[in-house]
Amino acid sequence: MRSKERISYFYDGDVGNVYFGPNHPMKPHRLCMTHHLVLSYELHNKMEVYRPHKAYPVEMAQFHSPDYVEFLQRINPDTQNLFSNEMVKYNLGEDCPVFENLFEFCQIYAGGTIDAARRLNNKLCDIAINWAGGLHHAKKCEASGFCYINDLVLGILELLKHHARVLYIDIDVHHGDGVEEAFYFTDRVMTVSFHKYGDLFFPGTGDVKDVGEKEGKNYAINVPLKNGIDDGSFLRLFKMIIMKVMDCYAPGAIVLQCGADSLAGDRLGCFNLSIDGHAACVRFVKQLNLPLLVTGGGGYTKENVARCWTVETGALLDVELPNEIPENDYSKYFAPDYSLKSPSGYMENLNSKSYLNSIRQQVCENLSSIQHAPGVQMHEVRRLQPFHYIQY
Amino acid sequence: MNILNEKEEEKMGFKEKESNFRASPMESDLKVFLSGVTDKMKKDPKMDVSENQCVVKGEDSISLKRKRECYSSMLNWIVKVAKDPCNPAIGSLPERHKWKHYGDELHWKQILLVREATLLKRNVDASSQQSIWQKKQKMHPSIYDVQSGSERPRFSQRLITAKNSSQKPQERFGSDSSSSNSQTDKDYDSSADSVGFWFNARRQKRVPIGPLCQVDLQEYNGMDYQSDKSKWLGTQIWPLDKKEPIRSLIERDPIGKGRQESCGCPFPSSSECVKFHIREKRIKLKLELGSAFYKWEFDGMGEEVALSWTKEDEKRFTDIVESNRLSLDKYFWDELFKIFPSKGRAALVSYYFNVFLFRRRGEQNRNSTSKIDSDDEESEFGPIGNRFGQMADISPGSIFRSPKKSHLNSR
Repeated sequence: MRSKERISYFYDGDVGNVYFGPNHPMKPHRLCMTHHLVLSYELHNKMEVYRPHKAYPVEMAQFHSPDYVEFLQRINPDTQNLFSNEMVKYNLGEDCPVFENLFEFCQIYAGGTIDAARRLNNKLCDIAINWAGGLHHAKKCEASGFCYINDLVLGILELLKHHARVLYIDIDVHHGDGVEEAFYFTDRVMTVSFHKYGDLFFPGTGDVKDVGEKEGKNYAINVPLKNGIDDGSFLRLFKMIIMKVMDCYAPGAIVLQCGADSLAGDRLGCFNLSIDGHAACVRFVKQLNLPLLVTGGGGYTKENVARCWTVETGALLDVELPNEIPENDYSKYFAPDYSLKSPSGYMENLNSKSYLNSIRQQVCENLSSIQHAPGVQMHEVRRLQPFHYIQY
Repeated sequence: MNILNEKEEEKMGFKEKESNFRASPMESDLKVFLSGVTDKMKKDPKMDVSENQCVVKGEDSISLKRKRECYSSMLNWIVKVAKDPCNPAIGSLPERHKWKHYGDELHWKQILLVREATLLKRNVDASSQQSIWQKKQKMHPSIYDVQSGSERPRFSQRLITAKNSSQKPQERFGSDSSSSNSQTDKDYDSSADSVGFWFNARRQKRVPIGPLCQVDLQEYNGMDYQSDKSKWLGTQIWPLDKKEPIRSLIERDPIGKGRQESCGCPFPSSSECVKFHIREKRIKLKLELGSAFYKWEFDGMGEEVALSWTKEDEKRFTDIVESNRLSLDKYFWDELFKIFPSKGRAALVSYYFNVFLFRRRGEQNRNSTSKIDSDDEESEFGPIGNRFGQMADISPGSIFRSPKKSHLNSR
């Protein structure tokens, strides 16, 4: 552990007013609950809290097409019926509804991730956290899966101004398709996504065979999983793969998307991870000791989202939080136990040992084919082969 | 035929409801190609002739009837596998080199033989398939062209991708570089790989590629990072600016302190005790945070929000939501905007989350012994709507369509 790690945490109070609409599972109110819980544990006294600047359209256009950004800025609920062609073109209206202050919401969460990346680049902090960010489905020219602007791509582009290589890790239950797609042709970003795949689960991409193309071939890692994966299986796989990635890739910075819908009991998810299991991934990435940008993502059972990201804020601050949640304005949400850790439930793990083994093997084979990063000592390839024989 | 036990069948019920939209086109496709290959199968010398086999040499009415029954049982089996390829009751496919040791009475074996026969037939028809696809296209991609006309919209990319996929039924749908042909023989996904493959392959999504998808990235030139945008690093809210005077000295709790189990209250853990400690904490936080308390809009959080509402208004709010909650004609947000024109959307949303839903959660805590789900608005407030209540048509590619665990309500 580095001495005196500096952690920057980004939060804007205006997110509390953001409302996607009745029954829409994405509730930015969960960010208020998270922030409240973080403060109730006094964690703000171990980090610096910033309000991000609201991202400008020109910053968003570093990745997104200018006409898409402009449309997002212009459109509002009262006029959307007049632009039905564009609504279809930009995939707005169903999963991604148009609501009041939609663009402001995008500015806040994108601004947070961009500012986080800039603070890291300027070495003003070692770890930067933006729980409002992590909207990984947004594409260059369209919205997708509740995501409008891809703050992760914008943050990574910022980091790439200072680092030759950036590693992106995604533990949301959904495939990180927007980020993978953006960097599919380049080796300057390695995207690693652990997600549910199959049964036509959204978004439908993320097969282990999708590895990138052109210069980006073998720089996209997909770990497709089935329902019910538990802490033990997930962590073993996660650690093995990330270790191998670090060995082969040597990134200058890491971006970690911590979607909480991979937790047991999530409204839209189907994994069986406990908060401890989820947070163990965060701890593991933290101890790699690289500049680290941490974002939120999915998470549709807001109490569990608040719990999870509070525990993970603690983990990033090296503070082990007690289970008893201190009294706060949102205490009722944590009934009946008022405890921080949510255990995994009973759920059949459909990921057999042989299945996980074969996924790991394929991923390791793909990783072995990439060139070792220049400047990194060349390892003999044979040394890595024992991984093939480690049984689950 | 009963390949799944009763419990599995029950569980299937939830998923069947969800997956009906994709089962129907699949079933009709199945019927078409199964009926189309009967001739092929009859001619195939590999097909055994026996009482229990699907294909028999004679054409008498009894054998035809048995053939039909066989096909229908095979059809049912395929549909069940396609709906839930991960179901462990289905069992796993043996390794490819062992297939020849298994008899043709097994459904999976029959499917593989049919597929082999069909693929031979389909390749011949590939060119005609392409033209059928084009004829069926109702909307030309050019209607989505932007005024500038500089780039083709992504929709055309998808249509092209789908068109290509119909021409290559055998291959995994990825680009050349990602096909990794040595992998295809590995039975890593036994339930989906072979039998489910044919159906999954038609729906497997490719990673979209093109100028409208990938980022334009410059090569790293290793120059020192120049930051002339120091104003865009965020505004520090905490710790407070040293210039801000500290109004009062308060005892700060240590970092990471949890809830104390014992307190000085006469009736610990009673609702009065809890309310007291929540209020106490709030006051402490307010004193400690200073200006940050307002910058983070903590003054607009929690049940305190109700303090700016009259009892009358609160009752009206509750009545409107309750009376319109399951209505298909009226949406409570429309009514709320009408009745409270001066409050504004932000105030209404704030009240909804901080007071209304919060109190509802309190009631759930008191009344419900089973798992409480404060995010389950659907059972209380009706189906999903966008934009404060307009009904949304759920398309097949929607994130809402994702099948979930069977114990949650399916959408």
